[in-house]
Amino acid sequence: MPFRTFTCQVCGHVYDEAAGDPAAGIAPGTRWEDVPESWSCPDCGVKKSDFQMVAA
Amino acid sequence: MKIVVVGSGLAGVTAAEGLAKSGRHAVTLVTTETHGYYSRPRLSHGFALTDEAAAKIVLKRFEALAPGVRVLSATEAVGVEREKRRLALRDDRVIDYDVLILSPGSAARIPPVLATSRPHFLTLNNLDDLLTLRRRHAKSRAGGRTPHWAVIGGGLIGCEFASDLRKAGDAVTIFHREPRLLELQLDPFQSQALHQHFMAQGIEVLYRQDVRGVFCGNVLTPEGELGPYDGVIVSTGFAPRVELAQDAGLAVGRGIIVDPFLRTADPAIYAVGDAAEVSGKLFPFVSPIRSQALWLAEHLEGRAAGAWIPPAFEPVIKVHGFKPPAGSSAGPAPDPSRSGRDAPAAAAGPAGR
Repeated sequence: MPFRTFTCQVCGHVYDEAAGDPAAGIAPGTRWEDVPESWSCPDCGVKKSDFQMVAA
Repeated sequence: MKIVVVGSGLAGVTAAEGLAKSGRHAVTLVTTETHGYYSRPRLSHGFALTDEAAAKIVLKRFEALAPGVRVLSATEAVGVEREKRRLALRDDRVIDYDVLILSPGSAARIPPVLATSRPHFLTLNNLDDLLTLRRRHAKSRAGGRTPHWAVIGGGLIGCEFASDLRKAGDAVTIFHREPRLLELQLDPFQSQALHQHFMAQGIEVLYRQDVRGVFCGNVLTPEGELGPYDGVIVSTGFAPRVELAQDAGLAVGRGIIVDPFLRTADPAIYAVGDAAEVSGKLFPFVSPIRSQALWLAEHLEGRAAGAWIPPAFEPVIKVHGFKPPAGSSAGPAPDPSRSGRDAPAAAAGPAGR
């Protein structure tokens, strides 16, 4: 499955599965499903549930 | 209650949507904006985006806001009649309120010496500014030219936007007043690391620049004139929009002065966002602003226990490919498990300039 991207509905930050979020300990290649629920947007701090999927 | 919100940035939209949820209030949002809701911090990285990605900067059109929020866009609140609890709009409409929430955000702060140069430079304060810059880039490229930009100001927005201009393949020169970049956010060692990063990227940085004017693409300093550039972008801080509150006789400092309950001296008027000065402090960052707006909605519903308490947050520097090395004055590294990283909400730069 190709990597997908997700956009924060509050601030527009994009989570790219290919890049992960190394600053928060999320390795590149981490699938959205595998990002822990405790993860929050690095830009605005909203929870994972406030993100929405963007067509790859 | 009739609730009127002034401003459609993060603060205004979050408060309006929070208050519309119960269906018990008539919520009206007044804004000069026409595009819809977008997050201003995204603008500083909105230049290098593809057209397709840039079209997604607007997160919600006004029609798509939570049901129950009535939006009056492309207009402006011009006066508050506090005794009658009425807000006057530029187009002569007058709206009644029981509660007025001021979230007008901030404008780009222009150094007084550059005021007369205003027609000759650009700023990056709203989506229209970004679209203007993108159009100018596209036009230069269509003519086979690589644009060369001058960025006045090496603060957060100046550095972030310079890195994005460069990412788009354009040439960039930063004019900074201080002897090092991001002197408010970084220690000297970290500033040096950023300087090296910019050198490696091919971004030119000029220090101790006392810019006195901008004229037809040229930047004027006491040493002479540099240019012409394809565009000069002034990013020297932000100015909270306090005029409406001030004209209404409310106290203003750098921002609209509110107590820890985010209330002005008028019990019917609150302020949140970039323009709110809470106990003497501005909070021009996404996470405290969102927190203010959510808290205020809860407070007005009678559900908040106690005053607003600023959340812990750590401003994050969004320069492509750069992470500040651990510095002597940087303090302990933020705990990545908490939502402590943050981006400036004021597209025009950090507080304190």
